[in-house]
Amino acid sequence: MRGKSALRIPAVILILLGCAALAAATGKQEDKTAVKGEPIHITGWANWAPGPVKDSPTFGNLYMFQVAREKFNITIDWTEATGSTAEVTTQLGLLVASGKMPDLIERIMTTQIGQDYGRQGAFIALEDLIARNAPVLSAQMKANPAYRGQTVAPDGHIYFFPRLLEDLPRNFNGFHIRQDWLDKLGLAMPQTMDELYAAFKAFRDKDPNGNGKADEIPWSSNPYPLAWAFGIGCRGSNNVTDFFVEDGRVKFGPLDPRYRDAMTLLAKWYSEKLIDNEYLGLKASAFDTKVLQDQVDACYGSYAGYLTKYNKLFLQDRKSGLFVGLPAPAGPAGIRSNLGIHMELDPACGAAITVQSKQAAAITRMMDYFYSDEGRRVLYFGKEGEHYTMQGGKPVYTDKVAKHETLAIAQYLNTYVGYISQWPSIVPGDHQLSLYDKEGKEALYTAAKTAGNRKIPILQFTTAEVKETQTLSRDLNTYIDEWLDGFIRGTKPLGDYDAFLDGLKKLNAERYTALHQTAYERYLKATGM
Amino acid sequence: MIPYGKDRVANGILAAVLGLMALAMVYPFLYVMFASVSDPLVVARSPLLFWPKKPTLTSFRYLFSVNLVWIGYFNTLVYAVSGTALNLVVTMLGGYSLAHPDFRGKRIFLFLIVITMYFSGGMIPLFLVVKALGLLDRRLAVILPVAVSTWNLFITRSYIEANIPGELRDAAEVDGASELTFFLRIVLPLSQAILAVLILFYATGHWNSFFDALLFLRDRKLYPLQVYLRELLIMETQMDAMLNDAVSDRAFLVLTLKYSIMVVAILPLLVAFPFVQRYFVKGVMIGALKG
Amino acid sequence: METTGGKTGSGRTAAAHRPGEFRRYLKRRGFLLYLFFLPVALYYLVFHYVPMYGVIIAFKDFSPFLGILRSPWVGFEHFLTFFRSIYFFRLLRNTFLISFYSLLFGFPVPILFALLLNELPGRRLRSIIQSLTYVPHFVSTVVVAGLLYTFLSPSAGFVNAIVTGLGGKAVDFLREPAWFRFLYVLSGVWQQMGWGSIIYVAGLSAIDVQLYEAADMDGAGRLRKMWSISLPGILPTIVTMLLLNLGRLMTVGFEKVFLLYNSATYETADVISTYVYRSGIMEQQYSFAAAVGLFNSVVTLVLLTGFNWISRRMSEFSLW
Repeated sequence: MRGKSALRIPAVILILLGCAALAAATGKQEDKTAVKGEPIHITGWANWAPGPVKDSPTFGNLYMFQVAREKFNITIDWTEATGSTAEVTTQLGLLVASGKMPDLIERIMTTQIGQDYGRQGAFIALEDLIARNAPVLSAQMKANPAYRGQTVAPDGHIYFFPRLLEDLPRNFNGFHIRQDWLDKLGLAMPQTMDELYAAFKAFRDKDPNGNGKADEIPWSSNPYPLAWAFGIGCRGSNNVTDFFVEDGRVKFGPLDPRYRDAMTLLAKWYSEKLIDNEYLGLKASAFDTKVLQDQVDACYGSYAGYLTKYNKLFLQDRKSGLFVGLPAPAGPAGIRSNLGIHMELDPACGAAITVQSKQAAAITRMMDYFYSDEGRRVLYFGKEGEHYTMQGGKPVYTDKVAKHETLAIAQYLNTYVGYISQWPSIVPGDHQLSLYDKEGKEALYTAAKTAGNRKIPILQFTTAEVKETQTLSRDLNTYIDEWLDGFIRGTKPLGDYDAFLDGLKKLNAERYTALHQTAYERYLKATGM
Repeated sequence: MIPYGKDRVANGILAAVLGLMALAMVYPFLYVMFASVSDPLVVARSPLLFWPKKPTLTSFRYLFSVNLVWIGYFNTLVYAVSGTALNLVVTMLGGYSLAHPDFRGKRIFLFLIVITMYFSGGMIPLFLVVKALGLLDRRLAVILPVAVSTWNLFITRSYIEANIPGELRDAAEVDGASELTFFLRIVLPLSQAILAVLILFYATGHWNSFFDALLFLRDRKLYPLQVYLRELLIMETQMDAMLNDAVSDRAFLVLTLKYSIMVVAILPLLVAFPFVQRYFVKGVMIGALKG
Repeated sequence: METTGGKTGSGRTAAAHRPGEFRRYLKRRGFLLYLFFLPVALYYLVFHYVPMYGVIIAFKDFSPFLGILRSPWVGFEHFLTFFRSIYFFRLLRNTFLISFYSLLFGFPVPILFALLLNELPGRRLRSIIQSLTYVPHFVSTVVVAGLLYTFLSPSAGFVNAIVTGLGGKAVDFLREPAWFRFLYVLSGVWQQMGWGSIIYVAGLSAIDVQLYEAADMDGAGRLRKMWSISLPGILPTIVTMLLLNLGRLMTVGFEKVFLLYNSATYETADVISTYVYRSGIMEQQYSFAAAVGLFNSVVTLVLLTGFNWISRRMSEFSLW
């Protein structure tokens, strides 16, 4: 009929126009990268403070998040929390208790806490999301079973994005010795405990600092790392546990017969004045003083925080003085062991997606980016040309980053570029190396070679297990603290060693070990998958 | 003025002893001041100081280059002034009523207050209360939850009990003065000393506080001074710490930074003390008022 | 001794309990007094009593996410864990002794100082000396501990230099359990004497001058005046402060002990708060810490009630 046909043409035109508009709109989107979709706004909570500089950006404006905005169209509205670790943990508790959580929690404070909240339903389980949206992380976990083993909770779920470390960054902590004193006394680098003993005696007696006083302290800071040479576990720098792994099992240092040998040796060295008689309770500033007064020969600590720093200061002060990495000395059984290194997983970091988030998939995709090589380059190095340049195939920080007026390299990066100290990623070796001087770099390599593999992995416990381990560890830790220092300093005679063992048994050290063994078996199983 | 003993020798000895004691007490702070202006490397090498070594203002320059420190000062001043004003009003009113012989139910109230010194629900319920009141992220969140210090309330009460004699009260009643008049015209003027003490105690409390701000405030621009100072210290300590990162050439700033921070935090208080002190060094003429 | 204080609690006859009498009381002065008290009452109600339900954390396995109501109930489990610790009695003993000695030596010193200061002529001199004595209160514990370690170092500290100079053997003060309490109390007295004397100085300044003038005319000497006028004049304050401090008898702050102790001195130095701290604040052991705190509070409150009762019998002053 005429009416209908009259309408048909405008209708067709309208439809055609509509299609054209639609095509134009989708056409615009299709021009961008395939990953980008609708703009996504999420909220986040982070443990971060702006740097102490005038132009410090907010967390959301770090370079890494600018890149995230470009690539994923994700904008994050961050709440920043600061304070000591205990205070921030409290603030996280308040956040969770308030009933209004953001999408993303940047730092779960400890992996145990992250797990607990995950099990209780505050954080969502991530393993499916990772399988579907995080190809890089999935591949990494497959290639490195230890990554997966330490991230998986006892119930089989993954509740947080882990912060992982490559091999070199793990070895940031190790033994130090004064190379210039070795040279002065014509000594070779000690490789065994016996050689170290001889070297220490020489340092004590032959006045290498040349001031005519017998004020040299062959070993300062606490001597517990020396016990590791016996193949056992013992608490010490960056190692809060006495557990160690041997023959596929978890063992408890104090219950091992070699612990007695270690105590005997350390007590002997202490009584011969080879170990600092003030090591107990030595404050960091007091230790600095001893080092700068040219008294300390060997110690244990971070190759950045001790070695690189002190070498720089020696240079500044125009004294002689050169610390180098001492390879972990071999004990009576020829074992070399450095338990102060990091494991593959950082137990104090990790990010979680809360149950109130509706953008879990998109967030996962963004998190995955920072596990990739490109993302890691952005996070740890920033923008090429501005923050780093390629030299000989390796990234090198520009002066803007490396020679800032008031900020150290790591600080600069945390303030402007990327949250290298905490953001879940895999800490790359080249970034780590850039923080050290020449001797520091060598020390890292030496440490990596002599670390051994006795350190216990980060273990995850069930709620019931945690309750028991916490209860047992309270008294056990106090007990071992007292006896350990007692033996070494001679206030508890070695003749009482059997009484020490009795006490351990009464405090259920064996049950404590069994709990850890169970967790370790779960870890082994998880790595096998 | 209180008539003092005329015994010159005794006075002299007394002055000497007290004076020496005072100097011995002040040494640690002098140490802090010296250390804050000394070269960090020198302080690290030989920590005992009797005067500044190789004076340098680097730590201070660093501190004050950060805008946050100024914002912090401003905020702390706001909190201290307004907070203390509220404290004074509430504490004096409360202390007066609790010191009044005719306050029925006094013992029960006092006991209930004492209970709060021992039993507390902890941070999370308090946080939820503050949240329910809509105070989160507002300045009042740092002022209201500390409106009264039980300790200060009790010493106010005991001061009033000790220094407002029953006769005075009776005399006022005979004269037909109302309770309010009595309070405003007689008690308050006689309470200069305790008011000064309260100002001292409360203001110092506000000045040093940081934990409440961390819990209840989100906006960095509202943070009091102590929060920023602690942040700086934590940051520097972490950079210097054994665990991970190296420090740049201006290493060791952290050592003297800790002292500069202390000086920055304490000095304003020390400067302000003498102004408040004069109120409890004055003698009060009760006799004159009686007339 | 002149009674300058009001009396606690007026005598009431049976007649006073009739409702009409109360209304008259209100009209007379009760209403105003309650009004004066209202802000304080509101404060404690809102910020202390409303949140007080949180004490039941001690009886639960508390998790912030589950919240106080939904966290699982465990009864006295945490208390029992604490009591069963092999260090329980040691912790109790150390906490008590350290706070007791602190009180024993730390309480009289500010009073004596205030009395002596009061005797000095010259307002400016008094003012200066007083200001100097405040300063230690503000020096952070961290600095004090650091200085102590430096001064008492067996190899480099000047105290030991004097000791060896006089022919003795160097003493490792900070690693000998026998010295800990002494050093803790001494540094505490040193740090708090000036600040702690403020309230007494204020009280002394408010004593009626005429009393001193009258005593002068009676020929009283300085000490007599101190004993008969100054001291009684601040007696209510002294009693109140004593009771408030007794109320802190089992409370030893964790920070200072933590900075001064080490495993060699645990025997005398380890107190409840440091033990709880070492058990891992990081792992959110809210419930255990709450249980220990609750136990501590109950014990102290019982003690304080006893002291308060004694005080009420022996003098007119008490906390309640």
